[in-house]
Amino acid sequence: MNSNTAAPAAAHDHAHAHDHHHHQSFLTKYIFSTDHKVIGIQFLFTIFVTLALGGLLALGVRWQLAYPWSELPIIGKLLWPDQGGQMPAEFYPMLTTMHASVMIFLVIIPALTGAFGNFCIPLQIGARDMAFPTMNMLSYWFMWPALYFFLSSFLVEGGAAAAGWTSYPPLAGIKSAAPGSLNGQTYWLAGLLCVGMSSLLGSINYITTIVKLRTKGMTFFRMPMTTWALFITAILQAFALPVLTAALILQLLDRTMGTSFFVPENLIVNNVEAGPGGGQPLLWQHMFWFYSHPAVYIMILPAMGVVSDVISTFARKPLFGYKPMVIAIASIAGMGFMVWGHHMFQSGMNPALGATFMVSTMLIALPSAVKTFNWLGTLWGSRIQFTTPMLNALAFVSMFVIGGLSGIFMAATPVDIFIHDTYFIVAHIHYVLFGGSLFGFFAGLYYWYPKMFGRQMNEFWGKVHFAGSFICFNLVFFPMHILGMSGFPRRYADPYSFDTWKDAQPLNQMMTIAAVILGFFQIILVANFLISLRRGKKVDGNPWRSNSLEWHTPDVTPGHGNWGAHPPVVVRGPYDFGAPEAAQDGYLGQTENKYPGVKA
Amino acid sequence: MKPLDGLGLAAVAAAATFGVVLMSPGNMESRTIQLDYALPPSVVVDYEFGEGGFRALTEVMEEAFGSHAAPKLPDEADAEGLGIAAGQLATGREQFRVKCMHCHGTNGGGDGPTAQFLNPRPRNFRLGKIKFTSTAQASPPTRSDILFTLKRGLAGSSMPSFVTETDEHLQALVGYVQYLMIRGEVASLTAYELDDNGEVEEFNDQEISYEELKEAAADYLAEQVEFVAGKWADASDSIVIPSVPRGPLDLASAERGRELFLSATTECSACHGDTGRGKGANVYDAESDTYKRQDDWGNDAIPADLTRGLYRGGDRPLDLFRRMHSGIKGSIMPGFAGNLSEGQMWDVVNYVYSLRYDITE
Amino acid sequence: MNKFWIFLFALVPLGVLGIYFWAHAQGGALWFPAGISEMGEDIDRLFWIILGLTGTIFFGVEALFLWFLFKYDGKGRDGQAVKYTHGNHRLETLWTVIPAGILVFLAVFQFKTWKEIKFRSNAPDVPLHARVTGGQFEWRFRYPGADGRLDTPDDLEAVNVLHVWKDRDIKLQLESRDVVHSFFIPAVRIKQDLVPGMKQLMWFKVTHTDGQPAPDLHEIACAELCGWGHYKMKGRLVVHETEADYRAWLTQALAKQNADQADLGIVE
Repeated sequence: MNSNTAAPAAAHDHAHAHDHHHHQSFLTKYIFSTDHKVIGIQFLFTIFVTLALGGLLALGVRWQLAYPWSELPIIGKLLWPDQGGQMPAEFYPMLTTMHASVMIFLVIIPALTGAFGNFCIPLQIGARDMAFPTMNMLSYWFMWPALYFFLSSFLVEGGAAAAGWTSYPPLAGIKSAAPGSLNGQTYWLAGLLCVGMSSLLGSINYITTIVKLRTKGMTFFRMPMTTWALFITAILQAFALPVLTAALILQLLDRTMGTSFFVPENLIVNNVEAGPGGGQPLLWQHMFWFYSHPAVYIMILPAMGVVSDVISTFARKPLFGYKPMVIAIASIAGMGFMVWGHHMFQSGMNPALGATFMVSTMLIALPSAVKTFNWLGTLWGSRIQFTTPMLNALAFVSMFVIGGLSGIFMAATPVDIFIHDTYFIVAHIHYVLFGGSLFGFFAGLYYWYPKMFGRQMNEFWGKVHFAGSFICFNLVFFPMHILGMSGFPRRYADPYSFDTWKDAQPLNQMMTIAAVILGFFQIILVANFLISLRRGKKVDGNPWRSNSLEWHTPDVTPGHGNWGAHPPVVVRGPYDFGAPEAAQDGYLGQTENKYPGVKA
Repeated sequence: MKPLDGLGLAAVAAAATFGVVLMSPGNMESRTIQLDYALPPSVVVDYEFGEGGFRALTEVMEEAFGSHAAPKLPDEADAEGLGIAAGQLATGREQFRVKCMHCHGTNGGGDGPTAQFLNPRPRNFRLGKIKFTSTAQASPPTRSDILFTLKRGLAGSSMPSFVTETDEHLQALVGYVQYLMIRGEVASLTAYELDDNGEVEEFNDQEISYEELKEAAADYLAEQVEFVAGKWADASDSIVIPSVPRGPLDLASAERGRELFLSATTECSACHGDTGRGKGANVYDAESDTYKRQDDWGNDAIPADLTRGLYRGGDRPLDLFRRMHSGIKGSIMPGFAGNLSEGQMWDVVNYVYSLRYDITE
Repeated sequence: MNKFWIFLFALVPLGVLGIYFWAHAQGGALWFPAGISEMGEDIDRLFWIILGLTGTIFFGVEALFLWFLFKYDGKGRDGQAVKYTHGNHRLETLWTVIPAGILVFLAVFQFKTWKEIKFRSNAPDVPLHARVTGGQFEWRFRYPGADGRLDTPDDLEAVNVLHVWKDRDIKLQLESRDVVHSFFIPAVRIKQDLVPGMKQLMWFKVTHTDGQPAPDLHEIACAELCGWGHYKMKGRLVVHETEADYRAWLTQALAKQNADQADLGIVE
């Protein structure tokens, strides 16, 4: 095994680091730390900040949809005193754009790949740290300039980017096209470049770590699903990101250097001539979606991994179809590169091309279906413990079914003609990204919290948070399917000025109220998280009686180097719950050297 | 469940219920947007009235024109002559708040939050004029001129078309725009009178009381209302209708138009350029890429590129004729009613069309 | 307490069912807008087929899911044996092949409608009805005049209002003046992006007018974010009952546009 060569080197490093352990200041230990666990926890704390930001932006959107042209509560009068506090029309697309950008690039991606990826990968494969610890630290610190650019873009002339998170040129590329395109879009591009850099550093690190630093006995097919999912996600990121980066730089050049990659000839926008021309707006859409469709899988695959681990643990039963699950994730990643055109069915792309993208898109639903069936198979004949992580994981499964099935509607090109750019799409993405990724994140948070801090989050309040989030989430987002059926368009500051949709306002008011309460329930999560740091129930190293390697560290909360003097030796897969030789509660850890009929 | 948790749960339930009640539609309906009209910025900048003077002016304006919550026409204005029906101002104000205010501003000053990003800037109604009308050069627009802009939009600007709105809303909007324009012009003229006749100075020197100052302001205001509203009521008497027919759009007519376009009589090409693409030498400085002259609203006067086929004041031949006849109000485009015959103006119109259409066939 | 969680999860399929019935009863903005074209009926039919299929799968999966939660609730069963299995090759094959078949069938099933609506080779052989130019924030419709060609002085230009007549193939050319827009007529179920620098073609036929008095009015919307005034791009589709009605409107509109010695009003 290649880890044989790597482990001693890591051990040496560890011993060396240990000598200086007591000289570490707060700054080097908690701020500029190169320890993967601290970096993971840093990501986690950051995410609570960005989640709050993204959530508030969402509430702004919801407010306008419920009570358009009324005073925006709290900040309305401060921002627009001479308008009586009602938001102007150009502010609404800024809210939608920045809500999506923050949630996707600063919450979901860093939450799953950043926080859990960093914390779990070395522990789950028995490594002492990531392969490139300094690079790992950089990957975290690249998040902050991104957050800075996003936040400060609200303060520049014209305000934040307002061309949608997809930033289609010429609206995004030409300064005169929208207030948000004046300066805000440049900040958006800079922010995204930083996020991209963070992701790229992280993904190279993850791939290298998983390939090179697995401990003795940890074969590829003994890795837990979380690590598998993060591994494939990292590969996906490493291959898709360069295309986005290129696209971002081209748009940046269009905006700042007078090039015209995405600007056609003789274009005059807002009575300003838009550069020499000769470019093609659709080129951006192709490049953007070539990254951003795989990005959707970057946001869901790690959650699938987390949920697989959690479900198997609390079903006290082996994961049903471990290898098919791995193959399913890998094929999602592979096919993920062949479906980007389904975002462009109505864009003017050749409809024959659309037909081929329809077939590939239909087929990418297949591995997701296989995964769902396997989760059900895991539950079959199990012994379910309804703990907070399990409830969130089960919610993931039932919400992902809706999100996955609604995707078939938009994969069908003729139906997509009608529902494209309506609230049906909004419903779909939120069922996948909130109902899916975010519930997966919650599951992982409650699940690994004891390993991070040596204490458990309060189960009662965890369940209150879950019940409230689950109910409100469905109240906010399921009706969007219904709105979509009426053709209710996205990104409209005032859809009720249309006779076709004016009757939809009461339903939107209900959704907004549910959204505010949904936000309110997240305060419970944050409070539970923070209070449990000090007050949470103290637990031993493996409170959930889980099998995978991260629960077998010598200390309750592993210190620097994770494994003390001797890295663990793995003898079996991560899901041998309930095996004949297992303990009464089904536990049979990956390092347990027990075999049927053989006394340990 | 521990007792403390039960208490917390009760608090959560109470907070959620409170949230639902607070944000329920019923509760929201009682909340209306609170806005106030203000004096035009030009008045505040141009006159040194001091606090008392401005207050007197503000108060008499509100007494005459009502507040934002309850706008009304002054008694001196002839509502019937203006064509503003009862109840139209309240409806118009609500429509204006939702559809127009973020560009045109609360007072119609063209200073809403969106305004600074638009090119050209949204119209400031408070000068009492708009660019494109069917009336003679010195006249304000008619109701149907405002309605025309609302329905057709201004091509090539950010002013969209509201043709799909109900007639009731459109008529109300027209009335409210008239109201804002009259209100703005009266405020400026009254301020001028107060300054010119010295009442504010007397008040500041404590020679007259605040009541006397207000009384004087009210008198001037009434005079100005009569003058301005009268102008508006008479506008429909000066609608420009050509008495000479247009004549065919052919090479001969276009050639005559071209000669006029280039001639010293009209100096069209001095601003619109020899080829009609704008950026004429009289107004445009190529070296610094700036325009030399401004319109009445203080914005750069940018002559139209006539080859684009986007005619802001309307694309009917009649609209172009009216531009030739009365000019573009408040801008540097003059009217040629005095210099050219109607037939000549039609020739120029035909020439302008020939810049866009191939008429050689 | 565990039963509570099962109940909570059961609320989802129940709620889904409930909201569909509720929305259907509400009608109006919460259901498909009344369709006026055959192509729209095809799209609606495909929608219902997919909804039926995915709905069946959804309720099947949810039923199984809830049944498992109920049956395999671990409460009071500490230490009991679980089914110790790592999977089943035959089951995996089964639930890969069957959904694959369904999905490929679904995709192939869509081809015909997609081709009819969007493939240029399928465009009706009729002269261009009008050109639609999207701009911030208006639709400009330019109808060719008697010479049948666009951009000649006898054209008619209208803003935000498109006139067509019933049972006629309407072919439109779509262009954008500035940024990407999307021409969307909900009642016809048609949508096409307008990309600056490209010319798109779109065609449809209004086949029924929903029993309303002629002319039938429907809304046109922009479906691709085009700036702060995106929601202000509200247009109107006017469907005349017969060609004669349409011609009468056209004559009158041309008279309004070209009048030189009287102001006859606005083309709308």
